[in-house]
Amino acid sequence: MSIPEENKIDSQINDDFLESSLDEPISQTILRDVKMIGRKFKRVLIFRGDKNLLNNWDLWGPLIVCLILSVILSSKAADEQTQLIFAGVFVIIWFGAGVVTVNALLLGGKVSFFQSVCVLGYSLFPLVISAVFSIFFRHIIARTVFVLVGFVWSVTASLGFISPLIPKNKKTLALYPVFLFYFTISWLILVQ
Amino acid sequence: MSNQSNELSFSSPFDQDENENQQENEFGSFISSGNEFIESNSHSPKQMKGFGNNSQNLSDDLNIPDFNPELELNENFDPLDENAPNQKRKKQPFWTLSYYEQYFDVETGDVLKNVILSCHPVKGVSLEKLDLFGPFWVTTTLIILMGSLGNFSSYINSLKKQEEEVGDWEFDFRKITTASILLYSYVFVYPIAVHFIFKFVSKIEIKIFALICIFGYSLSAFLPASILFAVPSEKSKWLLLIFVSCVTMLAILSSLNNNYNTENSHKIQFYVLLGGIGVVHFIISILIKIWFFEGN
Repeated sequence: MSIPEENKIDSQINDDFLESSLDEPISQTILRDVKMIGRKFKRVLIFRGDKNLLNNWDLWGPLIVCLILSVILSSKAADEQTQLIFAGVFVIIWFGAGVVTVNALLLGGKVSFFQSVCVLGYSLFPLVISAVFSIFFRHIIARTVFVLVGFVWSVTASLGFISPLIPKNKKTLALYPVFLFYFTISWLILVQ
Repeated sequence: MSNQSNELSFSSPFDQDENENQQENEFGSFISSGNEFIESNSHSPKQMKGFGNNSQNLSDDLNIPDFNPELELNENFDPLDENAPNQKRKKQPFWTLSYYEQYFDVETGDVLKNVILSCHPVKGVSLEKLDLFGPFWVTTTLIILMGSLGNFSSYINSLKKQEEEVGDWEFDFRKITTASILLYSYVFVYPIAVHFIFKFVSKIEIKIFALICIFGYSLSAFLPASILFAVPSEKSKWLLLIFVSCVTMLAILSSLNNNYNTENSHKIQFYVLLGGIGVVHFIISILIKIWFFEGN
């Protein structure tokens, strides 16, 4: 009994795809993920494009953001506090994002935990840019401006995601911790 | 929750068990006034779900009240009464996340009202609706404010000193860590101790979450105080501290007094314990001043 034509072609295409995913060079596999992360960062900076891009969450972006921030902030600190600040920034970012998410969940919001952590982490990217700028410009007024712009940008980026998912009468209660989270990070960047 | 959802939810177990349990069938006809309405509505799979499920989505648990087998024995049961005790949410064990949802059932107005009441020396915090949102976020805000403004005040102090260069001032991250340990234990760990002390010494049962509410909201007066601590004068800092500390202490003691001072004969022990709580609060305030807002 012969296989019908269409099924033969379908199975051939399937085999090709499976083979290619395993046979492709590792650089191609890694680059695909890197491009995805890059696209998400761009989406956080420029609010145009695919709205559902951040729905397939990943934690690479928050990790990259966290590492860059910790390294920058701890390198600028007093000598005996370098380790403390590195660990502190790490803890603040991950536990802060976790606590803000749990708070939104407990208030009745319909978010998935890791997706919310992912969005909060990615939205820190403007503040990372401000931190990088404040390494080069040490004047207090310039740094305040940079940090303020970064803060407003980050808050807007994450609000757009979280605010439609919270019941209306508790919106302020759910959004205030987001504001507090970004305020802490901004202030840590400002005083270095 | 509307009446509609209550009726729908109560209809599902009766419909399921109609053939099995005679008693429930009789009770089903007792609420015949709503029967037509109930039967005309479709029973979605969500409502027919077993009550023992731990659903992934927390909002599912919220809409399905507990099926209480003692319903038919309760003469005062009114299916349309939203406040009847049978309409409670399903009780989860305290280690699950959904258990704490009941403590987040507040709105912005409630939280603000409690924040303002925490400075009222006679009325104190209202304990009708216990919530965890207020204490936790007031404490966290205070930690962040103390960390930032404490560093700011040390920066101002370094500005005033003539010998040192301003560039020598370094940001002290330890202020944040110390603040968080001090305040989180005062608001979340210390109430557990207070609960047990009250239980064993004066036999009064004070809910732990009520104590968390009282102590958490009492810290909210320190938020504007932290901002005012930026004034460099040492005398003004101490005056401000004593004022805020006394106002909040009175509020704590009055809310405890109003709610838990019953007619049993342990009054002396009760007042002594209240005095102890006031002293501890005063000590915490002094620590806040000394560790975070040093004078010149």
